[in-house]
Amino acid sequence: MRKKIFLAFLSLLLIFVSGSLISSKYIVDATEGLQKLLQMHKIDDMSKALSLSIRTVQTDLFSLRTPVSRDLDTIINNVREMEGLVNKCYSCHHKEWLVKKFNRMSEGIRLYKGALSLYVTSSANTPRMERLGIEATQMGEALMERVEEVSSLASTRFSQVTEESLGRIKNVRLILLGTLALTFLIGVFAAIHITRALMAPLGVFTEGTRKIASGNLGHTVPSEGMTEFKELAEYFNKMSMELKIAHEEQESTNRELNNEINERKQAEEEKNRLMDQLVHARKLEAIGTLSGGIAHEFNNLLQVIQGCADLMDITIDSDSAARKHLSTIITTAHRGGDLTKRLLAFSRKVDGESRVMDLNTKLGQVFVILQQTLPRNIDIELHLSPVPATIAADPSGIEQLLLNMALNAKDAMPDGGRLRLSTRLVEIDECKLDGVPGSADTCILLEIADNGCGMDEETRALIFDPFFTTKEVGAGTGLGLSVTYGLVNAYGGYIECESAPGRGTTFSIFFPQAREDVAERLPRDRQLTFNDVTGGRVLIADDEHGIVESAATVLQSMGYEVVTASTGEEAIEICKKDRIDLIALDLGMPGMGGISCLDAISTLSEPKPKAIITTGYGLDDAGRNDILKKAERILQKPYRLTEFISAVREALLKK
Amino acid sequence: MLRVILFCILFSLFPLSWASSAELVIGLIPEQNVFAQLERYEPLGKYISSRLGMPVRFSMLSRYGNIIESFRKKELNAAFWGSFTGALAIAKEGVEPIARPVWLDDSSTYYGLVFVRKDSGYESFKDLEGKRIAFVDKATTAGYVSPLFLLREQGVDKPPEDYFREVIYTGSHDAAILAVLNGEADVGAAKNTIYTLEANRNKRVEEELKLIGWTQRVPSNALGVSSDFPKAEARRLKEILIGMNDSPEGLKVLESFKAKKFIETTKDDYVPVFEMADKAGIELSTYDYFNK
Repeated sequence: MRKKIFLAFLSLLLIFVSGSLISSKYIVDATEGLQKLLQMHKIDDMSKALSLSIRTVQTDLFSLRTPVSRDLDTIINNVREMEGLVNKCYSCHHKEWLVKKFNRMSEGIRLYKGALSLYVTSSANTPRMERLGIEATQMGEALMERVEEVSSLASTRFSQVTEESLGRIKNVRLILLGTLALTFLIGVFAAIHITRALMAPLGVFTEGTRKIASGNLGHTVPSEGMTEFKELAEYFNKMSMELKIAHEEQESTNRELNNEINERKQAEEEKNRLMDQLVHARKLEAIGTLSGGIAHEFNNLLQVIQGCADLMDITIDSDSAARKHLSTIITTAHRGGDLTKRLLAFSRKVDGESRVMDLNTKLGQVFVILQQTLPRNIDIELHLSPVPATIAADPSGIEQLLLNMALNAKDAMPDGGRLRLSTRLVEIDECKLDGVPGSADTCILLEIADNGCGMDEETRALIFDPFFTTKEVGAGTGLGLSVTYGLVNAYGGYIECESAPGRGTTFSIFFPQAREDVAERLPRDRQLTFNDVTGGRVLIADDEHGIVESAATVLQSMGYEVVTASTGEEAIEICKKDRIDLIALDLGMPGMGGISCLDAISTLSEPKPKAIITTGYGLDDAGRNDILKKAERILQKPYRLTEFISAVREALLKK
Repeated sequence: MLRVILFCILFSLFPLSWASSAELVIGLIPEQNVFAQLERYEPLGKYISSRLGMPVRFSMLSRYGNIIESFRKKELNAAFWGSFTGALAIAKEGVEPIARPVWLDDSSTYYGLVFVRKDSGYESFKDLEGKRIAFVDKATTAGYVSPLFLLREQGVDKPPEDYFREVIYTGSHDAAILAVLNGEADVGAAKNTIYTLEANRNKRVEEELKLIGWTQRVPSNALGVSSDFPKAEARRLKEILIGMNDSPEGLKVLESFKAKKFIETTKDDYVPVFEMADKAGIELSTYDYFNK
């Protein structure tokens, strides 16, 4: 294409230049012709002026010696002017034939001047003067003829030169017009050809670009035709392919970014969920700690009341009127103990001991109870895992948990409904349990689901809080789900609730599946035996005076030798000084505390005193197991004095 | 403005005078072909103009005698005259001669010649009675006064119109020579200087003509100024002419004028003319110089 455009412009240039050169030559010739024409024009003018001048002199001659004659000076000047014109003509022409004519003209003038001079200076002789005048006139006429001959030649030549010049000008005009017309035609032809040659490929490229713009990335155009367009097509196709690749890469990157964003969102949601859980857990933990502390203090107080009541029960007559009131005190103290026990359960300070049990078995037992106790308009479904759902827990705690949940479900279905109890083994990934020590690859999922009224989100967020209840005043303690929560956590499990108003409620409880080694480590059911008191020296260490007093009194009444201490340090000193068979040690003493005291005592030389731990706090399994390595028994306050006595007895009997 | 207009009006009312004229007008008598004579005098006019600082114009007179009329009409400030016209002008108009040329042959005078064709057989004036004579002009020395003087010397007292069968006035000396050469006249009179010029130019003069009489020398054509010409300017004009041969430019002009230099001329130099006229029977103060 480039070559064609170049050739088109080159041909235009050549035509233009050649036309210009030819025109220039003709213009130069025409100009020269015009100059010659001007010269000829001057010559023609001069010849006419010469004729006129001769006529003037002739006129002077005719009018001489008449009243209108000019003076001699004027006549002489006219003659000299005439002669000057001839000399001027003479100086311009060099052609021989012309020179001859001018020579003749000059000779004529010389003779004319002589005759004129004779005539103008003649006087007195009239015939002579007339003759001289005629001679001069004739010479003037002869000169005139010669001048007119030359003038005629000049005119002829003038006409020739004029025609030649006009001819040249005509040629110039023709050549210029021809050049312009030819240039125009070639220009139009070249423009049409080049435009056609450009438009077809441009159309292809325009269509290709439109397709790419409409999203058809990777669209290619045929690589053919002229070199430039072929090259352009190759680059175009390359560009299109690169656009396609870049677009795909971008889409891939976008997908990855979206995935990453989704993952991050999910992670964020999970984090938020965990944060919510953590906050909730901490809140419940704080409440648990508080309620545990309160329970401990209450237990001590209840223990004093319980102890004193037990002493009174021993000391007053069986028919005493006070016995009725004493019974009320003992019952109330017992109820108070139940209440604090629940609080301790919520704060995971459960009293019971964990052991390996089959949740399916316990669920079957509870199913039977529920069938008997729940209204008949509630259908109870039981779906148990095909394999034993072994967990490490206190069976009584699990039973309490199941009953609490079933009762809540019943309350959520006042018009009847369906209660579904199920267990299944799930993979550890689904367990939502983290950091379960010694946990297996699987966990047990216990689901308790109803299709009752359900809860809104606000309610759902508060269900595990102690003393939160939706029931009427007096209809519930608000501790059921709190205790459940505490128990599940105490057994290393996790509970979650899914509910919506009108859609029922499902509680999912994950327990770590108990493995064999754990099962072995945990105690099996114990069989307690009661024997008679064998006597012994018992140290009661407790900072609560009432407890010490009541316990000492009953032990002394039972034949035991009793020593008391109010701090751990005091207890250790006593143990070091005297022989002590058994020490009833309160964990919550001021000073070094019960645990440190127990550690110190355990390091004493034999015979070491046996130990019973009393506590108003709850203990987790780990703490309990740790203490039981050094002590015979743990008594949860408030305990009955009978229970205390049997614990003392049992410990002293133990080898 | 009014003063300027009045000055212009008064200025236009005065006749032509030297003081007011913008050019020096010098008259020339037609002693030869008027065109040839003008060509000969023009370089001299340019020289005078350049020295004088004003234009110089020559006015050709158709006849010798016109010079007197022209001075009288104050058409001329000065004139190169022939000796007889000079004498007439001095006598009639009181003009002042100031200088005249010294020719290449060291002469500053000329003389009159009387000539006939060789083949005529005439030898003296006595042979010429009843013949045709070509004078130049009645106001010329050589062309009229001299032949009359010679006739008187030969004892002819008759007026020329009576003695000769035909009298013609050619107007110029060369025309008189041509008239004899061409057979128009049997005898002619002319000044020697023009005769020599014609003889050099036309060999027929030597071949066909012979001299039968000549007179004494008179001053050659001199420059004279009008009687009202300022004296100081007249002196200056005289100095220019007399000093011409002292400068190369002046010498060059003199060469084209066929002269060596100019010398001072006074009225006294015209004494021979007066004498010759007297002897020729011409009373200058009453002389009718018109050719008839």
